[in-house]
Amino acid sequence: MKLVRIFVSDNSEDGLWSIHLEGELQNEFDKFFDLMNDVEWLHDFFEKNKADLTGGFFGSITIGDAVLKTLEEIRAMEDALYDYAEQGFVDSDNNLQHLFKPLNNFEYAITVHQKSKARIKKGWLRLYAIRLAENCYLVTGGGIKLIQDMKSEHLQIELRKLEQAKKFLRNNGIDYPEDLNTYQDE
Amino acid sequence: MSNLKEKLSKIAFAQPSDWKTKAKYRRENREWLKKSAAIAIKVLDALKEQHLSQKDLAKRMNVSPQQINKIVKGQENLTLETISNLEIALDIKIIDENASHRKKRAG
Repeated sequence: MKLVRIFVSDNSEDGLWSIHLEGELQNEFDKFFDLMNDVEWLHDFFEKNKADLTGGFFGSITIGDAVLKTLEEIRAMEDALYDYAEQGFVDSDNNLQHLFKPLNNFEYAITVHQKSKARIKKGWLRLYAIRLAENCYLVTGGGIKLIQDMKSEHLQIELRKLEQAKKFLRNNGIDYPEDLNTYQDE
Repeated sequence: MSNLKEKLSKIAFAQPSDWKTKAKYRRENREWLKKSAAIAIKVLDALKEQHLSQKDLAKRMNVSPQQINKIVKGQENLTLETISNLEIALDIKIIDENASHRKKRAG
């Protein structure tokens, strides 16, 4: 595993980073945005997860509409991050901490090295990250969350990547306090 | 450089991500990309419904399977000719050329 800069401030530690897993062609952040813009991939994903799509809390929705909803969400998410990257790190109203929330819904305190997620209101897309500092996050992956828990295989992989990234940071001298996220991950 | 940034840089690739360039492209070309995605969905739905593979469609249209794969990813700036060929090959309607005309007459 290695890290990749997505956008990082020149004069402070503010910024967004991503993990790049060994053997992968892309880092996890780039891969997420490319896949969520790929209609064929999305169509296939919803076909494979049809039971979760139609049986979950999003009600009756066709595969085509699910693809369109995802494209709308990824555009909103990409816009928010792009604006942030463009505006730089001066305006504190538009900081990464507003985009990323604790992974666990019942966890209200924001802590260092916290497992986090970015999402659009009422959306099913999730961008997973580890909070390294107030305005510094390390993206570990992303996914489409169709059901309330994290039991789907593709989301279990995301949880494992969060853990892998934590270990990697610890092994590389980036101190990691004992995990405070002991609740069930959302 | 801050201590954290220094530590992160040591375990990072020298080359940063090119996401911002891609995001800019997707933003600047949003309107036609939306149309391309809508067409890709129609094509994928038709393929599934008719139990056809992308390869089958490529044969029907006399193009390479790679060309079809680009179309179904929803990121191709398609010509009207390609759209018409897709309509014929799959027997579907992608653009209803009479829709706006009918709407005007009805109003």
